Amino acid sequence: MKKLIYILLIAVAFNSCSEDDITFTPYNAVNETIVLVTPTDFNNMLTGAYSYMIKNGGAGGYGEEFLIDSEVLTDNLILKEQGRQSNKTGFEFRYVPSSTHFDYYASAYRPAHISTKILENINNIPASVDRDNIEGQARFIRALVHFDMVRIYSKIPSQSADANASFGMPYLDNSDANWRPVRGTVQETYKKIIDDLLLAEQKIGTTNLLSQGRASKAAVQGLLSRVYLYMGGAENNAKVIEWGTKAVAGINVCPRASFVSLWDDGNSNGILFKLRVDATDVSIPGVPYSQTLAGGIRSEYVAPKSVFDLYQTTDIRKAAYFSTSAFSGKIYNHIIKYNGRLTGNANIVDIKVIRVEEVYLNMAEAQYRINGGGLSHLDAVRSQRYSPFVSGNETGVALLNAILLERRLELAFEMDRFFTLKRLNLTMTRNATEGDFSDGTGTPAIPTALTLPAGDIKWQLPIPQSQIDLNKALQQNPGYN
Amino acid sequence: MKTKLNGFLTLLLALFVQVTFAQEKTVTGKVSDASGPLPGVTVLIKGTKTGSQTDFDGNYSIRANTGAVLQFSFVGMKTIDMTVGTANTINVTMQEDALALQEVVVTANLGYFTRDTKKLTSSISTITSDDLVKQSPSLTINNALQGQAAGVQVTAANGKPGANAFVSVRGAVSITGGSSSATYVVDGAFVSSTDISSLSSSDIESVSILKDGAAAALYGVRGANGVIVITTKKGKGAKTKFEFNSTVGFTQKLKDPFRMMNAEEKIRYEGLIGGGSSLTKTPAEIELMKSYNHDWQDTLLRDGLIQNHNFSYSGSDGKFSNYFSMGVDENTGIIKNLDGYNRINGRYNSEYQANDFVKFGFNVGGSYQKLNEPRDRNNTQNPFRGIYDYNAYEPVFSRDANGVILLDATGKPVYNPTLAGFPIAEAILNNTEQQRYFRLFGRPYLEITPIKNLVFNSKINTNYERYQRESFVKPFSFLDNIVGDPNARGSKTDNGHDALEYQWTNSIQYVFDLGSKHNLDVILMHEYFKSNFRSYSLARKGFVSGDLPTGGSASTTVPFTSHTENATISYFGNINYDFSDKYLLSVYGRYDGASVLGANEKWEFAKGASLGWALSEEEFMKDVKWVNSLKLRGSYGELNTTGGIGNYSAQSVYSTTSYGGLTGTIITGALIGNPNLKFEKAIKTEIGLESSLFDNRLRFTTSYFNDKREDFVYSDNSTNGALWSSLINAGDWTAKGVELELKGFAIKNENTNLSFYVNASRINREVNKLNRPDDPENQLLRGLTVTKVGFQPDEFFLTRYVGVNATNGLAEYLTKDGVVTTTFSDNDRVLSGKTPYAKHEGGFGMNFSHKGFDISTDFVFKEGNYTYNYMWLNMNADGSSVNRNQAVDAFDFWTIDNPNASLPSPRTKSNVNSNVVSDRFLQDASYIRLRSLNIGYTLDKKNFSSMPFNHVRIYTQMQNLLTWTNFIGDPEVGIGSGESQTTLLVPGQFALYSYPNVKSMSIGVSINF
Repeated sequence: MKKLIYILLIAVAFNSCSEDDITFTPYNAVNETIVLVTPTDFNNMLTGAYSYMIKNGGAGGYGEEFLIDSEVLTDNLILKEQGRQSNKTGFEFRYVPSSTHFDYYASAYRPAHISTKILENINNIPASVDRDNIEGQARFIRALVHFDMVRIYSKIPSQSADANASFGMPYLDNSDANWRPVRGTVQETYKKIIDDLLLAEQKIGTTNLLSQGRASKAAVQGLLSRVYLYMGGAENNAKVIEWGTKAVAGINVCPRASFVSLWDDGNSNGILFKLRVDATDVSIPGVPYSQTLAGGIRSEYVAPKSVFDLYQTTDIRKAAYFSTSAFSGKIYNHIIKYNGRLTGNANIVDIKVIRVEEVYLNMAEAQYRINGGGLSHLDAVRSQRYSPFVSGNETGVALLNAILLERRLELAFEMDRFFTLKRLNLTMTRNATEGDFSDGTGTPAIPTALTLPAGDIKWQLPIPQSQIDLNKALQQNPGYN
Repeated sequence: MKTKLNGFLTLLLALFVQVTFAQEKTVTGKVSDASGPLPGVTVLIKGTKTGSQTDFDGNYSIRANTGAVLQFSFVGMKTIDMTVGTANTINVTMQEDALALQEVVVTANLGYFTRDTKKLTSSISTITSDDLVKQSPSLTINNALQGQAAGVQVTAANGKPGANAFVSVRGAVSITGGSSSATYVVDGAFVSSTDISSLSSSDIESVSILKDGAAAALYGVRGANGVIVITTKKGKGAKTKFEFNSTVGFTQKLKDPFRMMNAEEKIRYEGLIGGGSSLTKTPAEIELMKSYNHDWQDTLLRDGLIQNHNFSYSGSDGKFSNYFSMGVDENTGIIKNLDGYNRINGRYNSEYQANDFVKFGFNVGGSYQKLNEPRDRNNTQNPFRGIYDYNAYEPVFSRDANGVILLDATGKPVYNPTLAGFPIAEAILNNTEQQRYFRLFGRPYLEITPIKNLVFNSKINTNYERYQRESFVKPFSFLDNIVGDPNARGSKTDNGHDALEYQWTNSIQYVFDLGSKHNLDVILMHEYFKSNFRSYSLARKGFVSGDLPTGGSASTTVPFTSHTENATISYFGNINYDFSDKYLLSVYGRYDGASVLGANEKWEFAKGASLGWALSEEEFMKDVKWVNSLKLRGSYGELNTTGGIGNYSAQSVYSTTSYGGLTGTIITGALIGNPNLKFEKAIKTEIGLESSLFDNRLRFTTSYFNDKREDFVYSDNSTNGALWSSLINAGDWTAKGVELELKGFAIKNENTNLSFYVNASRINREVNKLNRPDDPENQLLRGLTVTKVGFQPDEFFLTRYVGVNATNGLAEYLTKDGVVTTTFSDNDRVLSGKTPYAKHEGGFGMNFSHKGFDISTDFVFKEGNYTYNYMWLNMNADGSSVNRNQAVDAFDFWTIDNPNASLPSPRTKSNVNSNVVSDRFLQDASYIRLRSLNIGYTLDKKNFSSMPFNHVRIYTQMQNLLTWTNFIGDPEVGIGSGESQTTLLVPGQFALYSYPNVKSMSIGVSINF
């Protein structure tokens, strides 16, 4: 009897498991099959796409590095010798496929992939205003990151006659993760960007809040004005005006009185689209520029004296953008555009992606190309920057130079200077004797970092070797090996 | 599943029916030695599993057939065989086995079962506690295995106090990334390779390493990379035994085979290359800089203190046995102001033989570890980068123009951020990170023998781990000033987890009675393993003072909690047969299911067999007197394995993120699911020969093995734009090799012993198949290395460096086609035939003793492995990092006057950057190391009769005293950089400032009473 009990025990022990014992679903996540079902699911996914632009891979993009990656390639910045020497590969134009400066891939492709996934499945939910709004935003995000990709790695249509037929960048309108796209031409890429933006402009809703870092109709229109400006030519310049006019309707240029606090996120006057960054997001956008220690601001790059001097003393931007102060016994022109809000952790601010001021300047430039005009658009910006302000009433080349100068001053350190030089096919020149201290002394840029001639291959950043290793169909830009 | 179980049960019942009972009787007797009755002697019916033990008075009782052979064995005594005749009483007097030339371990521990080594048909290396005590007690048990067994590769992860080692068996390579670590089984319970660090080596009775497929098959889904079976001590012997062991010593960073520049040299170097912070300085400032000269290694590092104290008790009355131990361990590490590591551990093992049918036991072990962690990253937040990067002319504290130390508002000196931008000396004090582990292992087990020859065994193993981490950036510390919130100073993260694993194993073993020549037994087993993991993380800011680490007024990140789980189910059956210990056969089959696999591929079958032929038992060998034993064996074994697969990695899942105050979904871990992800299969084949010759004076074991991996699991990141990764079954690879264990006794007599040993293995690996339809190159890239069909796994893939062009001073490379060029390009990368894995590896050493005196050495070696030396690249940066200190060797750069220089013209002169990743810094990391040197003297009662103890040994122990290598740095590289190398870890792929290995010297005393 006793033995029988033992045997029964054994049998019970052997029978104690089943298939259910090795089937688990996660507690911290949801399965793909239920993630794109309801409109809320789509909205959440869309929020995820926005978030990818600043984190979870977005630190190479708007989250941190993009803010300085293009600027160090220009005369706006000089390497501060006593800094950490970060981004020096870019500053000295030493980038090659294996040591890339400006690797924007992950930051662009993750939001693009998610946006495409939303668009591919959008018919899972019934047609509605909300659905259109989701679709519009997804197309906006996809267009924005591809526009960035193509302006970084490819020629800009207005840059040279051969640009449109040269290598563009693949457009991620297919969410198959194992897709091996080819580059196509610049013209093809811009067409897809415009197609997305035009649809986005129609579909995007009216309830999206700037404060939540979501795109509005004006943001789409503003981006359209920028893209058409890059495309150049009479027809496209007219589009710059067309979309620019729509974008600025009802949105004022940030007034002079509010301008300093704009960069502390004290207000958001004139901003068409910004990416929200909170302390909990882990991204610290200002760090590539500087960190603030007890002993002052420790910059990696500073504005050389010649740039600082471009800002007149009557220009409010001088106070908004710079802190001329000592660090370790030397005085520098530190850039303080990203050094944080008035409260909260240092170096955390929202990333202003499109501002109405830029749209005015886009229109001014386009208008100048069309008929030599553009002064009123220029003054719309200038009048809110100088006090006292008297319009220069420039005409002809003087007007163009004034527009370009104002563009440089207004959008300094905002991911514009490099692309403006590039799209206008200009030469970037640094002062050979000017050093990093605020009085112009100090360590100048090394000889090879002094100029980037118009038409040089380095205007097109090399495709990272790691990407070519993965996708042999991805041709390298000419001039790199 | 139910059908399969019923099948097992039917088989089981069939076995009962066939049982025939032979005539048997009860034999009793008394076992004694020279000093009287001997309790705890094992009495075994030879060729069976049936046995008994002598009680406290040396008496035993066993039921046996007439003609059966009773085998009496006891540690340190000669084993005696007695045949059961007509008498019902057999008394035995055992004799001390002074020469102890027989195998110390007569049974090999397979973890769940033990087996007479004579009957083994598998490749098992056994390391005894005697071998382990020779290693420093500060080493984790896996580090202590280095060089101790052939075919077992051990590489220290790094030199951090309490750090683990990467242990792999027979060249197992994890192409998944992460280490291809062997599985640990402690007293029959799976223990992770990190948990194993909680085990004190003095509690260990023996370590068996199961190398072939047939032996490891018991451990199924975890056994593919080899199994390390650890048995902790049990109470044995009647006499209660106390042991106290204590060592104290110090550790030191292994000396670099190069020297960094001092202040004068670096300033001179900066002048010569025309770059660096001294160029803009006035002569007076230069003089001041020179006066600051100091060696940052001396400034930041120190000699570490190690100490270890352990106390144990063991005893048994024949029915009830006990083992109890307690120990404390400290290793401060070599970073100044950081008390690295503390451990307290305890263990209690007991076993009770309730009656003839039932035996049960309970093993419980626990430990508490405290680690104060330095950062292990690739910048000067890591002191081990700081010692090489900081210039000797940069003082620890900031100075004004007159060289006077600057003071902050509170009057304390201000730390110099240096040109590297971060004062690590300050951070060690003000950015603290403490990790604490509390671990508890409990293992109740029950063994029932309901009828003769049938043993039912049930055990539950639980591993509990509680982990807590506190990382505190104190308010107003340097880092806080940079990244902190001016209105809420300081920041702190508290995170941790509770992990509970349990494993329930039930087995039945039946031994058939088929007459004395035939031995047959059958084992059936079922096992369920479940792991539960819950974690949390909280971060906040707003601290009043660095002395108030529990304050804080606001959150800095979204607090999170997490819960994950996984499980496996296994069914296992095994039949063992032998004919008179001469012809041996064992077959097994198993069926495994795992939760981590793709929904379509959760279950898999695996099988194996092994054969043995004991030639020395054959008639024709009886006259060959110089052969004591000779056995030929072979095995084939398949194992299903899930190595490296995360709990939900096979599923496409989305988790939440916040953005702009809204909730968003993102792809969890940037990983895309694969519903067809299946078991990786290890297929292991081997042939081996074991022999003992010349009166057992020479013993050797040799094996030829072929380990094949089919469908190895790989994290494929070849998605478009390297967007996401996905786990796939990517292909097949093979490791083939031979291994040899040799031990010889040169002198063996009453007073003097001299023995030598050699363990060595040679391994060749090759990738046979890759299955990556979307990759035209069909290769796997892992940073510096590439895996490609027809080549070795993880071959370095680099552009070839030729040298310096004597005419223009530029670095020269070879193009892909072999043409010399001064233009560097990644397109010229070629497969180098070199890998981070050694071709030859092993250890050798000697033991000598004369009366009370003993000395022993252990050497370890590795040959044919390469490591990318990023540290040396940074110290010879060819003018690319002028603000960093350089090695003195950097002076030898090309100039017109020095055309035969070893280094190219610096970038500051040539405008060409030669500070690039070519094979110039890929270095041969082969080495031979004097791993340990022990000298001791033992006083025992025989010689010192007045001594109150049985025996006392005083000893000194030295670790890593000498190393011979061509590598410029320490060649033993595991982790390259703790924080930079978090995924796709290939141990030894590169050296990048991880915690360096140390040498240690200690003295100790061990007392038995």
